[in-house]
Amino acid sequence: MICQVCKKNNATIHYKTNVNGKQTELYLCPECAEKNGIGKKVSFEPIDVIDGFFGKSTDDIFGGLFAGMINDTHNKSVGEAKACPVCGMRFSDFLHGGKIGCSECYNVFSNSLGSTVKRIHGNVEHCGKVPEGKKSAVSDKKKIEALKSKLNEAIEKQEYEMAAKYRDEIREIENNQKEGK
Amino acid sequence: MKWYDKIASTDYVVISSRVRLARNLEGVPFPWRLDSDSSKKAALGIKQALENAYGNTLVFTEMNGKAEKQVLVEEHVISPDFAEDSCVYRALASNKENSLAIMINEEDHVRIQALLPGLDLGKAFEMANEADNAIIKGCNVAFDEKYGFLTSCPTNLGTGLRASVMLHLPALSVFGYIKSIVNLMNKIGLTVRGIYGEGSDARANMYQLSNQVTLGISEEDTIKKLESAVMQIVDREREMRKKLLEDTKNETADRLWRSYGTLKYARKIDTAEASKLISNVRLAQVCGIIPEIKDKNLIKLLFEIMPSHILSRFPEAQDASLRDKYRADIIRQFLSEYDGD
Repeated sequence: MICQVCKKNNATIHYKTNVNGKQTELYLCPECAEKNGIGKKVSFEPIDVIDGFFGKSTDDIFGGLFAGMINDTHNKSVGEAKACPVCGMRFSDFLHGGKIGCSECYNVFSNSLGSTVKRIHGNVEHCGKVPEGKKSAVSDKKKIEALKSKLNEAIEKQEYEMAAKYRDEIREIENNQKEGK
Repeated sequence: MKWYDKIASTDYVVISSRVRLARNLEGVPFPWRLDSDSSKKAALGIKQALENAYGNTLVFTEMNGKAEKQVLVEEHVISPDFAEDSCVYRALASNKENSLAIMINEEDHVRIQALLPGLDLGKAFEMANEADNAIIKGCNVAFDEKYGFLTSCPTNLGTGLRASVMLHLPALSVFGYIKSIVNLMNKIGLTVRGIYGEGSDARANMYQLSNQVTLGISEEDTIKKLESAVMQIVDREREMRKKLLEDTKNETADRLWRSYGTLKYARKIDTAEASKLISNVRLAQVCGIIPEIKDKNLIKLLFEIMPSHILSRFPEAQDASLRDKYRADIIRQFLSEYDGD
């Protein structure tokens, strides 16, 4: 590359500044660099000063990583040509950029995302804070899941009286939820 | 008054403690999928929830077009990404010291950060949690029983909590132990990074240790685990500081006094060199080689010599070369009352 100042000599110095987020780049030959007061140390001074504290953008790090985490056959099976009704994101967008579109995407793409989450965090579930207002929903959801599994078990065993009892209990919780809303 | 004004000038290996919580609104696309109007609408809802709880103790600042954003980046109050101008409406809610800073519409709708001097993760979590409760009370926060708090990047699912501690490890650096600490911490689910970006270990010998895992571990356990790792590193650093004095006293004293000499007499100095030398002088004070400068906070000096800090004080210092002169002036003035030599 030719020096951007004298436009004659070979540029061997890459001068880069970042002042209040505004980046300036110059390619200079040693003579022009010296004339302009750009020494070796100065020229590389304020680059990338703090970014380590917040870490790199997840786009850079995880875009490709997530794509690699999900094998092709799985990708095809989920198809995921469907788009999230809330944000319009498709699963391929996530594979490309590494970011989810909205909270509803976790429902819409639950199969594909489930395996991604397992690969990142392991086969674990949340065990920390539950926000006020979601607590009853969480315990109701757990109760319903337990009852549904009992219901299926009862049907398999042809214990229809028990099955009817579980079905009624599930309905009662669901009705209570609706009234609560 | 800034969050780092109260950092003890010597002895402490832990410079600061930070807790960050990532939160999002249910049924609203995450910030990267919002336009100017919809992101503003989301932000105003969050602002209202915070105002209801904090009244006017939090100051709201619209970020787009705001001057001196890089000063906040240098002080670790906001992320570099958040400082970039964007078509998304972004706002910062912060207290007077910026020890509580809530980034609205960063990667997630809400990023709550509490940043305190010294080792104080418990208090930092308490502050962040209080802000979180305010947002939960006023907004419909996205939460799933299995995945916990739903986040824009699945690596933050669960608690959405990132706890980190900034450590000054000059003696461990001198003896070359940093790499093995990094490997060891990775094995137990913690990450070590330099605070001045990659490959910056030679600079101020500052490192941040943080948790990697957010799902399947409670907030309390995350913090306990980090604290216990921090305490072990602190012990090792103190041992190595002693060893430095026992094994190589003359060499160490010479090297540290030379650092002091350069800082005291330099007429131009860049950020990297100044940070490294200030770290050495702090080590010299900790080891008793150079007496402590009373009421002078070397960590504060580390912030004051950063490029955007100098620019905010001396707007004419657009050129790096001129900033190097101002930087040397600031440091000489800082050391002027000191006659330790």
